[in-house]
Amino acid sequence: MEATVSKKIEDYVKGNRIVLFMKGTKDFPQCGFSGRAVQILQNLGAEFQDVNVLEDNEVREGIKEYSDWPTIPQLYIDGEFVGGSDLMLEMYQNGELAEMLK
Amino acid sequence: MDAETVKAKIQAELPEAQIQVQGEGDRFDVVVVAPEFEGLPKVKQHRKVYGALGEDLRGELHALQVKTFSPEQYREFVEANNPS
Repeated sequence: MEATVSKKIEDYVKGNRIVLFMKGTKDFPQCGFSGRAVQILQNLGAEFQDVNVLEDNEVREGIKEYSDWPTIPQLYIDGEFVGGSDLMLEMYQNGELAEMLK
Repeated sequence: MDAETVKAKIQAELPEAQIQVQGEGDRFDVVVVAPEFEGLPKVKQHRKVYGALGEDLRGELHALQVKTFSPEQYREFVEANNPS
């Protein structure tokens, strides 16, 4: 991955407490899994930064390498990779996500 | 791709696992219960499943839903969802 791409991703991840890399935006998700991720965060009342990977192909490919995770969406909290939409749902249902967002 | 192929790829990576795959084409629901997952955080459990499918996730498998458990986690999950 190019240094500029990894720097760009790092700026998103370190510059915001909660970041969701997704397809589309929080107002207009363009994939069911990304939509579900947005809904979970909104249900928990979380303020988060959305990053639309469909608008930036370098970030779309780079984030998979950065996090060693092959799918989108991807959630970061406090600079740490948390998981994709399946793990978000699981952690939402068992209360872990609400705990992390405190 | 069919469900059997998805299952075989995961089984090759996790020989001891119990694996259920439902779906067809590019949409699959996968449940993996593996002793190999004992003590691993969920993120790492999922990475192992994704790792088994490798390049397929970049192309063919658009919509993959994954649930992973160690055998103990699975017992707890089943008990929590089927109260007797």
